[in-house]
Amino acid sequence: MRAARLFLEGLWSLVTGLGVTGRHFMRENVTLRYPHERPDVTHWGGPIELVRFPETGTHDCVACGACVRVCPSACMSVEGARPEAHKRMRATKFAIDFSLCSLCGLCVDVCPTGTLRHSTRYDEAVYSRRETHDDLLAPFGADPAPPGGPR
Amino acid sequence: MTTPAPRPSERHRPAAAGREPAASAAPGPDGEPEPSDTYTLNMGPQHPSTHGVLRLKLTMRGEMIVGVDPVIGYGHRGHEKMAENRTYAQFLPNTSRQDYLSGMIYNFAWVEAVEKLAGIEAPPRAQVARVILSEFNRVSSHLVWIGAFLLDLGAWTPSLYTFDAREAILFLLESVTGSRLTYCTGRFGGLSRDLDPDFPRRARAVIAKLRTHCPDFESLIEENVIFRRRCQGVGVMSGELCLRYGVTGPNLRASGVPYDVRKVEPYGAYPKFDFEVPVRAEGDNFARYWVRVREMRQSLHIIEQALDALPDGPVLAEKGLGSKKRLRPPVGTLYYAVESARGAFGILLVSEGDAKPYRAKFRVPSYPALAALREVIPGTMVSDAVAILGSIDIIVPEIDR
Amino acid sequence: MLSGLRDLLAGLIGPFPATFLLGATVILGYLSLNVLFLVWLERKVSARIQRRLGPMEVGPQGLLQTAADMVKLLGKQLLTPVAADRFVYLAAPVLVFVPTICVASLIPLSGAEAFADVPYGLLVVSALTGFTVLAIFMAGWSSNNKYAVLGGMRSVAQVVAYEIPVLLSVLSVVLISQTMNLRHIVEAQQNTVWYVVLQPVAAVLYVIGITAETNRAPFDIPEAESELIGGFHTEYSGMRFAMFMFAEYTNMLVLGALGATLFLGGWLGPWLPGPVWLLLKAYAIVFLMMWTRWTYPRLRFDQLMRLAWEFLIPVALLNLVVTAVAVFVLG
Repeated sequence: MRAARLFLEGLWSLVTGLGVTGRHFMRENVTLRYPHERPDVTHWGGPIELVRFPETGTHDCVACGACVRVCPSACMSVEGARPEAHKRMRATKFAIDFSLCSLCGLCVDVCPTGTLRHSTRYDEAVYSRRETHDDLLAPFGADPAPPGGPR
Repeated sequence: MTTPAPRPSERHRPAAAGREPAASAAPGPDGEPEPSDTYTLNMGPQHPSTHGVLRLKLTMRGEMIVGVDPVIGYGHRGHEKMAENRTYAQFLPNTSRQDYLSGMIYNFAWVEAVEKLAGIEAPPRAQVARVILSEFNRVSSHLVWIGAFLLDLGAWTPSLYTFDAREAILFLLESVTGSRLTYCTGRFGGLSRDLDPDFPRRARAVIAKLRTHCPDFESLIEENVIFRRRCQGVGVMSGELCLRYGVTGPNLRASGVPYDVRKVEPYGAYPKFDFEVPVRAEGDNFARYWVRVREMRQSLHIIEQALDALPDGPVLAEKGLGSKKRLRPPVGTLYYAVESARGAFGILLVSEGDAKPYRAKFRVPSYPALAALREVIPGTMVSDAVAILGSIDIIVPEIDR
Repeated sequence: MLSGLRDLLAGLIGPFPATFLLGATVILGYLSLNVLFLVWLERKVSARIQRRLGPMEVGPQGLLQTAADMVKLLGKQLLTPVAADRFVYLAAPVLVFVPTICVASLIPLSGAEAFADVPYGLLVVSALTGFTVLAIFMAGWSSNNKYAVLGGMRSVAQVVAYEIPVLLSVLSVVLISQTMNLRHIVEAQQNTVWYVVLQPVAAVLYVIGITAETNRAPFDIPEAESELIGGFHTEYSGMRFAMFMFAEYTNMLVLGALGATLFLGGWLGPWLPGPVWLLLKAYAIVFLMMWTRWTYPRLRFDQLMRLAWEFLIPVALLNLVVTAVAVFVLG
C-alpha cells in the first residue's frame, strides 16, 4: 500500500510539474529586448569619469596623484601643471586604461576634491587593445581653470 | 572490458575534450602493455557541466567509476601572492573575484578580518547593513546553484526561473553598491556607500518576490519524482567523512552535523538575529538540495529582522581609512572565518606592521568538498558523478585562487 | 483538391506514377517545411515556458531563424573521421529518414485522400518504426568512436525497450476497432468515441513510448549533452548532424500524427478540412512532448530501462488483457 501511495504521489508530482511550467507558459516574458530596450543603469558603478561641477562648469582635478597611488591595477596616469596665478595644480593629462580597471571605487574614495565618480556607461567595447585608454579630460575640451583658485 | 591497443587512426585523431580514450595499462615487466579491465576517462578542463576549470581523471571499469583523481590549478591566478604585494585596501577588488557568487561575503570577510587585526570598529549601521547584503548574496548564490544543479540533471527550465528570481536581488544590490556580481563595497570601518532611505522598502519588495517563487521550486523540483529518484541515495557523504576532510557549509549540514560559523563562532551583527540552521541526516544529493533551499528561507528571515533592526547613524567610521591613509595593523596573526554560501571561509592574516600583509592565506570551502569526492564518486556511474559534482556546489576559481 | 490534381497527372503519366510523384512531393515537401516549423516552435515553446522570447530578430517573430540556421549549417565543414566505415557513415544520416517517410505515407490524411489505403496499415507502420534505430546504430558504429558506439547502443536498447509498450497500446486499439486498416480505425472512431476516452492508459503509454523513441527528454540520455558522451551523432558535423535533428523532428510529427489517428480521431472534426484537423491534433501531441521536455530532468539510463521493463510493459500487458476481456464481454 505504501508503494501504491508513493506511486500515486510520484505521478501527481509529474502533473503538478507540468502545471508549473504551463502556468509560466501563459505568463508574460521577463525579457529586456536589448538593444531595442535599454536597462536601468542609474545606479551602475561604471568606468570612472570626472565630475563637472555646476558652480565652475569644469572638473576640479588637482593632479595630486592619490588615485594613481591607490589604484590596485595601476591603470591611471595623471599629469598636471600649475596654471598662471593659481594656487593649485590642474590636470593636463588624465587617462585610465579601462581594460585594467576593476571598478573598485578606491580612487573615488581617495580623491580630495571629489572630482572622480563612476559613470553609468556599460557598452565600452573597442576593437583593439590600443583603444582601451579613456581620456577623461576629453569632455572638457579647452579647459578653463576654475576662476580664482580653491573652490 | 579489455581495451585494444590504439589503432594508427586513433593516434591521428585530435584529442577532443572529455573524449580521450587512453591506452589504459602501464607497461608490464617485459615492456608490453598488460591488458587491464579499467580505462581512464578524462573529464577534461572543458566541461559540459562547468563549475569552473576542473579536470577529473576518472578510472572506469565499463560504465562504473572505480577511481577519481581531481586535477586543479588551471585557474590559479596568484591571489595570495597578490595579497603580499598590495596594501590592505588595494586587495579589496581581489576578494570578490575568488568566489564570485559569494563576492559580498568574501569582501566583508577581508574587511572584517583587517578591522579585527587593526582594532577598528565598524558602526552598528554598517554591521547590520553587512548582514543584509551578505544574506542577499547567499540567496543569490544558492539560486545559481539550484539552476546549475538542475542543468546537470538535464532540466533546463528551473535554471531560468532561478535567474529571474536572482535578477531582483542583483538589481537591488546594484542600487546599493554599484555592482552586480563582484562587489567592492566594504571599507575598513564600514561601507563605501550608505543604504538610501528607500532601501528597506525595496528590499522587502524583493523578499516578497522571492517568496512567490518558492512554491514553484517545490512543485517543479523538490516533489518531482524524477528529481527524487536521481538524487535520493546518490552521493552519500557521511558526517564522519565530511569531518575527516574538513567539509563545511551546506554539505556538512546535509550530512547531519549542525555546524554553521554564524552560530558556532558568531561575527558581525549575527548574534542579534534569530535563525535556524537546517540540518538533514542522509547526506545525499537530495539532502544537500533540501538544506540549501531551507537556508535561503532562513536568509530571507534574517534579512527581515535586520531591516527591522537597522539602526541610524553613520555607515563609515572614518572616510578613507586604509585608502587615503594607509593602514598599518600591529604585528600579529589572525584567523577570521565567516560562513559563505559554500561553507566556512577563513582568512589567515599575518601582519608585520607594514602597509601590506606579510601573508594572507585563504581557507576556501570548496577545496575539501572536492577532495571528499575521491571517496564518494567511486562506485557510481558517470551520470551520477556529474550530479554529485554539481550537488556539492564548488567554485573552482576559489579552489585555485 | 489533391485528387483532382492526381487525376490530371494520371491523364499525363499514368495513375501509379502520378500517385507516386504527387505523394512523394507532398510528403517530402511538407515534412521539410515541417522541420523548419517545428524547430521554431520548439524554441518558442521553450522560451515561453522559461519566460523569455525566443527568436525574434530574423523574420517576424523569428520565423526565418531556422532557415538562417540551416544556411549556417550548410556552410560548415563536413569532417569525416579517418577510419570511419565510410559507406555506412555516409548512409546513416540519410537512412534515418526513410522509415519515417514511409510511415508518413501510410497515415490517412482524410477519408478521401489517403495516398495509401493499406488493409494492414498498422502492421506495416509497426514494422517500419523499428527501422530508425538501425540507422542510429549504424551512425554510432561507423563513427569509429568508442563513445558514439556506446551512445548508439544505449539508443538501441532504449528504443527496443520502449517499442513494446507502444505496440501493446496500439494493439489495444486494434482490439476495439477490430481492424488494422488505419482509415477504418478513424472511421470507427467516428461511429463511437475517440479512443483516448476508451483507452486512456494506452494513450498515455503511447505518448511516453514515442517520447522515448524519439530520444526526447526525459529520455534523452543517448542524445543530449550526455555529460561526456556525445551520443551517436558525436562524429557528425554540419549538415549531416542537421539530418539527424531533421529526422528526430520528423519522427516526432509522424508518430504524433499516428497517435492522433489512433487515439484522437484522425481527420475527424467539424468545419475545418480533414488534413487540417489531423495536423492540429498531431501538433498537439508534439506540443505535449515539448512541454514535458522542458519540465522534467533526465532519467538515468538504468532508471529509464527499469521504467520500461518493470513498469510500462506490465501495465501495457494488463491494459491489453483488460481490453480483451471487456471487448469479449461487451461484444
